[in-house]
Amino acid sequence: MRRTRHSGDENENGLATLEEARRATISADQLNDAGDFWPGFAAAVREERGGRPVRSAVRPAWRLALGTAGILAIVGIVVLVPMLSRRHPLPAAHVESQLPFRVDSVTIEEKPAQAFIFHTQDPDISYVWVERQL
Amino acid sequence: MTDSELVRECLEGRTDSFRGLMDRYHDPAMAIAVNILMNREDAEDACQDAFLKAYRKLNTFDAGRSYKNWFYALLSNHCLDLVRKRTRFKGFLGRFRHEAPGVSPAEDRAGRNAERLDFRYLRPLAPKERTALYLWAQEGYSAAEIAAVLGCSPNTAAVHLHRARVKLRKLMKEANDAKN
Repeated sequence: MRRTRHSGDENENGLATLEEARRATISADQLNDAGDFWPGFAAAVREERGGRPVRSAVRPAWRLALGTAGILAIVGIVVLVPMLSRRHPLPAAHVESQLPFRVDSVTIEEKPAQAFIFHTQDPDISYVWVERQL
Repeated sequence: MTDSELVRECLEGRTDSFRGLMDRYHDPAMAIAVNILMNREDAEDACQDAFLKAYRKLNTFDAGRSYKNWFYALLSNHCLDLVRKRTRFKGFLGRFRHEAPGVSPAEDRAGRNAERLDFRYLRPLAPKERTALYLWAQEGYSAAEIAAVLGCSPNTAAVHLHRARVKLRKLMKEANDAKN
């Protein structure tokens, strides 16, 4: 797989050599135990061919409503939370008392999605951001 | 059997032939994704998605060209999109983050990753610089071949690679100086 074209010792010119670049990057050999993608792929193709249309269970009107609500929620988070937290700063003890939690898996329309958790200054409020994967 | 023959069989309806392509590019695909995303689990997800995307778009593949480069382009675009989304979200997240250690699943996984894979020299590089550096160092790609994967001109690809090598040299020199 690997082809060698350059062997130059270019570090005198301020450039990393090929050997240095190889050491800095992760090679395929370092990832031997990567999982098999075939079962997931085969399942996805089977599902597509099963005749079940891949469509959202949410109707367009509801989508619009949910989208608007989502935008309003985001605006609220962006504008109001920092304003409130500036007005009523919590003592450090409260901040440290937040209960950590984790999200093990999230799906959007039955497809895996990305989830991010962030905590507010209020120890009883944390937000979970979920994004559809590209 | 060549890549083009496997592609042709897939297009004739023999889905199992795609397994040959998947087996052939499984390891390098993971390596590309890991070098761009710097997170093993995200890389596995990205590869899974990229293989499925490639299968769905096989009818757009030009048999006169290299399947390998076509697939690498599709995969690296997907990974670069993920990095952009991640960066955008981190910017948004930065408004709310404070000193209390709230660990997201992605960060938690990245932490576990760091135990096994060393990203210290890759982290300061831009995603396209990491891609160019990997393709040059591990795959022996020229600037023109890197350009085909990144979808840019050979000059631009050469600039990405040059910047990556300059940064890397500087980082390695600093690491050496710190040791001595």
